[in-house]
Amino acid sequence: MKKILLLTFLVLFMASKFIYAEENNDALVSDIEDKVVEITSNFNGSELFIFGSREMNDNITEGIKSGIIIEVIATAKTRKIRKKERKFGIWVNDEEKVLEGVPDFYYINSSENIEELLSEDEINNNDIGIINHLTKNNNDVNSDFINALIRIKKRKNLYQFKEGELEFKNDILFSTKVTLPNNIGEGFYVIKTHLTDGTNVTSVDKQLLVVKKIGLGNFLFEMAHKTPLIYGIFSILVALFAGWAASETFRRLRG
Amino acid sequence: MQVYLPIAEVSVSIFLLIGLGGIVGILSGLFGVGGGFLMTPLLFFIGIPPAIAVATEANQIVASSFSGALAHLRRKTVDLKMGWILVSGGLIGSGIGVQIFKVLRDLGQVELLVTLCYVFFLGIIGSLMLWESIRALIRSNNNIRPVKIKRHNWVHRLPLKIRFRTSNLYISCIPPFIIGALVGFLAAIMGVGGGFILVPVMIYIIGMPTKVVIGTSLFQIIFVTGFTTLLHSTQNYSVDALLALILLIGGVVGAQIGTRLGVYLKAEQLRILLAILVLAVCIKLGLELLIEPTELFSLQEITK
Repeated sequence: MKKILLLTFLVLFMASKFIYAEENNDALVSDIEDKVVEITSNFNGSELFIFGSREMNDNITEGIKSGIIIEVIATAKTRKIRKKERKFGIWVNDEEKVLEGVPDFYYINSSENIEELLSEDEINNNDIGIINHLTKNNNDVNSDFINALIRIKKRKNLYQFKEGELEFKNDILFSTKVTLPNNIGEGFYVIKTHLTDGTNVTSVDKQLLVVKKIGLGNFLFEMAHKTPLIYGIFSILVALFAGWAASETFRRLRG
Repeated sequence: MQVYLPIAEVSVSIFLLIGLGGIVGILSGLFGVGGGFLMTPLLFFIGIPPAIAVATEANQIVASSFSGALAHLRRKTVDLKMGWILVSGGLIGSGIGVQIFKVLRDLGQVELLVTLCYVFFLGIIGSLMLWESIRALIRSNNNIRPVKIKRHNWVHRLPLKIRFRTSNLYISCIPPFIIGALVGFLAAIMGVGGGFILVPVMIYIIGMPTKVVIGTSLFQIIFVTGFTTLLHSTQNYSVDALLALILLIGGVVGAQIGTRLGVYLKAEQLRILLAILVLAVCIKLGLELLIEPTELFSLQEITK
């Protein structure tokens, strides 16, 4: 069922592309299946389906590699990272760095290794790759801390590196599935698709995904942060009620 | 089935949480301990951030202590006058505790403080419990009567004496106030009710009759953990009401099962197992401080 749906998507997509081909000069078009991911109380991760098409590049016959790079970048946040040191025989947090522009989630996928698709300058100019992105925002921070951040995020599956794994349906259509783990945060996720000609980025297409908490979880989170006093009283009342209910229930059971 | 905890911002199996609540509930019903000092470290082990675990556990204890205190209030085994003095100390202790907690959280040292407190107190409680239960075993085998407690000590020479009719005592209100404050402080830092300190101090130092000790300590714990919940939610935004609710569902049922089981099982012998469990948790937390961690770096979102 899902496959049929996706196929329909692709077909419609291609149709619209050809219909508007004349006024739309974009050599690259991309889209995502769902624009919103809702974090409910029983949220257990989600999948993001990204698809698109590129115009065949004539130069391919001349041996120049045309390629696609897809990045998913969540809202940038400020984060603290700390390093443990041994002091008085125990391991304690010591040095601390504040990192700016840290996305909660990052994903990269491409048709070839990035180095084969772009020149080094172009990679830097376009801020492609999480290391470039973080280094630019924090050029005074020791790379140990930036590498540690990436390592920690990668372990939680919040940073995913799939370079060279993007596959084409034919030479034009491409699609990929991104696994969004159950620990993703709220925010706007930008899906950036780059078309390259082997040296430069020739076209960029952006899509936006909204990740938001809904339901009971969202209600509690909002209350806890916007009206903490009411939330605190509410938490106590819930606990008192539960305690009273338990006491009554078991008193009745005992007879 | 996974449940997404809105404040902790992690997804955990709901059955794991109910199971944990249930097991700790059974233990607390069986041994008459609050269970906070086991639940909080277990929450660390399943990946709940320590700051959230401590504050949430305080919230859960409001429920369990209220449930227990109701039974004691009905039986009139609560010394309310003593209770209010303990509460007044407790509120001050809790206030100080939450402020220290907040400052250390900003400095990234709160985990260290919480872990050190746990290693220290679990170490002491576990060892004492093990020693006591081994002695009790030997005593029950040899049929030796325990020594009677002296009810007049240094506490009776302190000023500001008050008459406590329920406890049939005429003593200074300073020791109950101080011990109340200490327990309030521990509630804020460790997410425990503090019964494990209150009860022995009330019996051995203040000299209260055993029948009012549990009720009075539960009475104090309701107010102190309630106040701690309120402070943590306003200062640290770290109370996860959903997590507390799920844990207490398992907890209340477990506590009832534990109380029934206690009738059939020989608690003296089981107490050795509890002591070993407490020591095991203590050692695990201690080793985490001593062994070089595989990841030296840790990440924290800046709380505004």
